[in-house]
Amino acid sequence: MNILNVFSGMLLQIFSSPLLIVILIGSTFLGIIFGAMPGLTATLGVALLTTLTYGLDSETALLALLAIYVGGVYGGMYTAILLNIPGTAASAATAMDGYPMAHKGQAGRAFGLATTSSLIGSLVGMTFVALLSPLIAQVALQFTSYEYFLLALFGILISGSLTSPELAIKGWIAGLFGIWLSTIGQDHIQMYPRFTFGMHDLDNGIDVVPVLIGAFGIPQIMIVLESKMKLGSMNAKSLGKLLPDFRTMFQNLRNIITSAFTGVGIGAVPGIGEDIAAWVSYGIARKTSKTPEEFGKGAPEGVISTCVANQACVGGAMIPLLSLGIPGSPPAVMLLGALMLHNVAPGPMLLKSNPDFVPQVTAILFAAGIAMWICGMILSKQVIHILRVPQTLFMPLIAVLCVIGSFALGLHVFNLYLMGIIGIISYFFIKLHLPIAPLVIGVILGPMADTALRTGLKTTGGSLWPMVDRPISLVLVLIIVAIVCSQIPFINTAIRKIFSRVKNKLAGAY
Amino acid sequence: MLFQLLFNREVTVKTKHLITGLAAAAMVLTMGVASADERYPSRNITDVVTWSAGGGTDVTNRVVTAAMSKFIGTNINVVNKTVGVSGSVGLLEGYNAKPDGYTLIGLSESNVTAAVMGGWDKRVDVFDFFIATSSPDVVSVGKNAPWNTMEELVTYIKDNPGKVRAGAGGAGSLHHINLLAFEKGIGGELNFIPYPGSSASQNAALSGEIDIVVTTVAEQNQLIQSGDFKPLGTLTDRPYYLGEMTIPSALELYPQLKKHLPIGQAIGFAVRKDVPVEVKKTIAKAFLSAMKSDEVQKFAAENHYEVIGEFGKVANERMDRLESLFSWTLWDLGAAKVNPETLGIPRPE
Amino acid sequence: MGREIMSNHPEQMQESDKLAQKTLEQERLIGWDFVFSIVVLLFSVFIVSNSLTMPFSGTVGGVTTTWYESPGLLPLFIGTCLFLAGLSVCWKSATENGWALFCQHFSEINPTGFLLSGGGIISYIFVFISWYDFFLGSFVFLLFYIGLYYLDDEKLSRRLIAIYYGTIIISVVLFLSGVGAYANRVVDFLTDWILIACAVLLITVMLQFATRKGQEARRKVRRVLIISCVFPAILVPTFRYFLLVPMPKEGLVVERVMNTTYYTYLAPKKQVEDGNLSDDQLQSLDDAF
Repeated sequence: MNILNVFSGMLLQIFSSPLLIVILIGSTFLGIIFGAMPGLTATLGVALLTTLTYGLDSETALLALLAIYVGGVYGGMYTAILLNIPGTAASAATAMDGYPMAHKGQAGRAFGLATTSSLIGSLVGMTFVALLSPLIAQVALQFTSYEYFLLALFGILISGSLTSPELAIKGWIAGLFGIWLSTIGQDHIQMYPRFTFGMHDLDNGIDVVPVLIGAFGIPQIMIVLESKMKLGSMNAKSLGKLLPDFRTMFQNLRNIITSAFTGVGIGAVPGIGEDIAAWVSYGIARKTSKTPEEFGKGAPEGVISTCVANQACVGGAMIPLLSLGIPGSPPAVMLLGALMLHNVAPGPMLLKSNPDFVPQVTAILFAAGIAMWICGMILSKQVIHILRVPQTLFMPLIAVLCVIGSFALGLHVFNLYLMGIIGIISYFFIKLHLPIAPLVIGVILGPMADTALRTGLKTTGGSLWPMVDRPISLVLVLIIVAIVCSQIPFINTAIRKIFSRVKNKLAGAY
Repeated sequence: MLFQLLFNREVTVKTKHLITGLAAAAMVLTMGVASADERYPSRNITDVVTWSAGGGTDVTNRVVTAAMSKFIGTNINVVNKTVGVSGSVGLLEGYNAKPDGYTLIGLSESNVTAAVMGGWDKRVDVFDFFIATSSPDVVSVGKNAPWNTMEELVTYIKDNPGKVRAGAGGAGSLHHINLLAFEKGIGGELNFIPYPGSSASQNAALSGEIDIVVTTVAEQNQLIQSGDFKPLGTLTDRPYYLGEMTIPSALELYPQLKKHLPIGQAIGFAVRKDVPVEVKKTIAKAFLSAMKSDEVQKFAAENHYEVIGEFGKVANERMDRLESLFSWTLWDLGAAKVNPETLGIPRPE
Repeated sequence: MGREIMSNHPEQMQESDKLAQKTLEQERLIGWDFVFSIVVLLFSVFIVSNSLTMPFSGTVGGVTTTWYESPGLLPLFIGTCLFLAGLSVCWKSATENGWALFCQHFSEINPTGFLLSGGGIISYIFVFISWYDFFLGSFVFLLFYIGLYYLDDEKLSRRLIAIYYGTIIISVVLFLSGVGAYANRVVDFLTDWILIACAVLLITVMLQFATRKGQEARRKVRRVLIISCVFPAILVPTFRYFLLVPMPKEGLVVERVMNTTYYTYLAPKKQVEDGNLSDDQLQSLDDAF
C-alpha cells in the first residue's frame, strides 16, 4: 500500500536523522513545558514558535509545530495532577481526578496512566487521520448552529452532574455564574455591549485563560500557603508506580474507546478543541461508569478518559485542516497560519498535488506521540521531585508564573486584573463548598451556546424544528434528554428496572 | 533540577557582598544613559498585529516582516494584541509607543472602524500606512445551491426579497460592507446573518445553514477549488483567475454596482505619522524591496493575494476612503456608537 | 475563616472530636449558605434588571431583532435561573436557622490568613504589575511572599508586612495623585527606585533575622534571596528574548539593564541585503512622506 510506504519512509527519515530527532524531542519537551505552565497553552506555543520555525523547511517546521502541539496538549496534566492548577483548560478535567489521586499518594500512577492514555489517544487520532479523513470531515461539516448549541448544552449539563447530589444546586450556581461571565462584552451577533459598564476593556469579552488561572490557580496558592500545608500524604516516598499498569488500562478498554471517539469527533468539528473534548468525555465516562460516585475522588477512569480524548482531539483537529483547509481547533488555526507561512496551503488542492502529505502528517503525529511518551516517562520521574520542595517556597513562584502566563496570550494587563478578581471570587466559592469546574465550563461553552442558538433561530426564522429534523442534532437531543431524565430520580429508577428486567430475560433465554 | 541545585549549593561568597555587588552593577548600568541617536535600526523592531495569530493579517505581516528584516538588518518581532474594539488596543499600543520607528502596527482595513465603534478617539490620519496585500471579495454559493450564475442569483433575490440567507463575517466587517453595497447595487434584499468571522460564515455555507457567502478569494480558495463552493462573481472590476477557473466580475455584469464598489481589502502595517521622515524612508525602502522579493511574491500567488505595495500618501488616501466609507455605513445602519461627523470623518461621495 | 477550616488535621483527632468538628463545620456552612444565597438573589436581580434594558426588538447593528435573537435573552435566562437557585438555597438554609447560625459564628471569623495570602497576590497584580518594572515587582513580591510563609517567624513577618504594605501605600498615593507619572516624565523610570529601596529594606530585615537566629535561619534566608532573584532573572529573559513576549511594564531593570545588554551585545547581528530597487521606486520613496 502506498500510504504505508510513505508513512514508513517518513518515519525512517525522522528517526534516522539526528537533527530531526533533536528537533522532535526538543519541540515535544518545549510543548510539555508550555502545557504545564499555568496560562501558557498549546495554542500560544504554536503561535510563538511559528516565527522561530520560519527558517526551517516546511517538513521540519511541521514536525516541530506538531510536536509542540502534541506536547502542549499533554503537558497540562503535570500541574493539574501535582498542584491542582491545570496548565490548560483541557487539563482542568484531568485535575478533577488526578489531584485527588496525587493526594492519595498515587501521583506516579496518575502520571503513568495519563502518559500512556495520551499515547493511545494520539495513536487512535492518527489512525483516523490516515484512514477516514474525508469521511469524518464531511460529517463534521454538517454541524450547523443547532448542533453547536446542543453540544454546548450537553457540556453545560455535565457541569451540573460534576458534583455530588447534595451540592448539585451549588454546582448550578457556579455554572450559571460562569455563563454570565461569558456574556460580558459585545455579543457576537449584534455587537451589543452586555454588562460592560462602559469599560472598553470588557468590550471584547472575557478570555478563558485568565478565568482558568484565576479560578484554579489563585485560590489554590492562597489555600496552600494559608494552611502552610506540606501536602501531608504527598511525600516523595509514596508516589505509586510510574509504569502504566496494564490491568487498569485493560479494564478501561470501553472507556478508552468512547473517549477516543469523542475526542476525534469533537476535534474534527471546526472551532472547538481539546478543552471541550476533555470535559465531554469526562462527563460520558462518569455517566457510563459503574461507580460514578468515585469520580472526583481519585478515579483512574477520570484521568484516562480525559487524556485519551485530549490527544485524540489533536488528530481529529487535523482532519478538516488536511482535507478542506479548515482548522478543527484553536491551535490548528495557528498551525494553518504557520503552514501558510511556509507556502503550504492545506486543503483539497494539496491532497491532489501532493497525495503523500496526509501519510507524512500521520507519520509526524506518530513520531510526536512516541516522543511525547518518552519525554513524559522521563519527565514524570523528575517532576515528582518538585513535591520535595517546601510548598511555601514553591507556591509564590507559581503565582509569578500564573501572572506572566495569563499575560502572554493577549499581552493585556487587564487580563491580570480579571484573573485577580476571579481568583478572589473563586476563593470564596471554594470556602463555601461551591465547585469551581462548572464556572470554567460555563465560560468556555457559554458564548457557543448563546451565539449558536440565536444564529440557529435567526436562520430558521424562530423554528426549533430543525433540531429534531437533522440526524446529528437528533442524536444529540436524545442524549441530552437521557441525561436530564437520569437526573430525575423517579425516571432513573424506572429505566434501571426496565433494563434489569430485559437483562434477566435475555439471561434466561440462554 | 534547578531547585535541588540551589538547595545543595554551598554559596561561598557572602550574601551581603553578592547583593551589594549586584546593586552596584545595576547602578552603573542604569546611570550610564546611553540612548544616543544611533543609526536606525539599532535594535529589534516590534510589529504589533491587531488581529489574532493565524489569520490573514497576521500571516501577511509575518511574511512581509520576515522578508523586510533581511533588507533592514534587524529582526522584526511579531506580537499579537487582539483585544479591544476593531483592534483598538493594538492601535493604542502602537500609538502610545515612542515615535521612533521601532513599533509597527500590523492592521487591516477593518481597523478603520475603531473610532466610530468607540474603541478610541483618533482618526486613521495619525498613521502612515504600508499596504502589502489585498484579496478580492467573491460572492459564492454552496455546491448544492440552485444557482449557477450571478444572473440567476440576482433574479432570484429580486423575486424573493429577504428570503436568501447571506453570511459575510460579523456586522460591520469588510465583507458585510461589501454585501450591503451589493444589495444596494442590485436593488434586492437579503437576510444577513452575522457570524463571528469569515471562516464561521464559510462553514455555515458549507453546512447549508446560509445560502450565499461573501468573503475573500484567499479565504475561499480551497473550498472553491474542491468544488464545495460555486463562485458566482467577484466584487472587483476585473474577473479573477483561480487555477483554471475564471470568476466573472459582478461589476462588469451589473454596471450599476460601480456606484458603490469596489471596496478592496487592505492588509499591511502602519507607523505613527510623526516618526522621522528618514526612518520612514528606511522602512519604506525595506518594504518595497520585500514586496519584490520571491518570498512575498510566492506567498501571495499561493494564497491568492494581490501584492499592492503602496505606502505613504497613496496608501493613506486609500485608508482615508475606507475610513469614511466604513464609518458612515455603520453610522447609517445604527451600528456605530460615535457619530463620524464629530470625529471629522467626511461623508463618502 | 480559612485558617480554621484548613488547619484542623483530622488524623490527629479523636473520633468524637471529629464528629463534633463536622457538625460545627456544617453549622457554620449553613450560616454562610444563608448569606451567600442573599448575595446570589441580589446578584440575580441585578442581572435580570440589566438584561431587560437590552434590545428585544427593533434594529441593532444593521440586524433586525426579534425577541428570540436578542442579546438579552441569555442573560435574562441566567438571571432567572440564578434567582430560583438562590431562592432554593435561601429557603433550605432559612429552615435550618441559617441567619442565627451565621450570627453565632460571625465573631469567630479570622480573616488574617485570607488577607495576607490574598492581599499579597492582589497587590502584586494591581500595584506592582501596573506601575513598576516587571522584574523589580516580581523580585519584591517574591521576597515578601516567600519570606512571609517560608521563614514563618512572627516578628519578622510583622516587619516584612510593614515594609511591603508601606511601599504599596506610597505607590498608590504617588500614582493616583499623578506625581508618579510626572516624576517619570522628568527622569525616566524614577519611581522604580522606590521598589529598589523596598527590596533593600526587606533584605536588610531578613539578614538581621538570619544573624539573630543562627545557622538554620541563615540558610533559609539565603535560599529566599537567591530564589527571589534568580527566578525572575531567568523568567524575564526567557519570555522576552526567546518567546518574544514583552513584559507588562519594562522599566529600570528590564528596559535599561536587560534590553540594553541584550540588544547591544547579545542579539545576533544581521547583514543588510540590497533590494535592487529601480530609480522610479527610489523616486517614489522621496515623494511619499
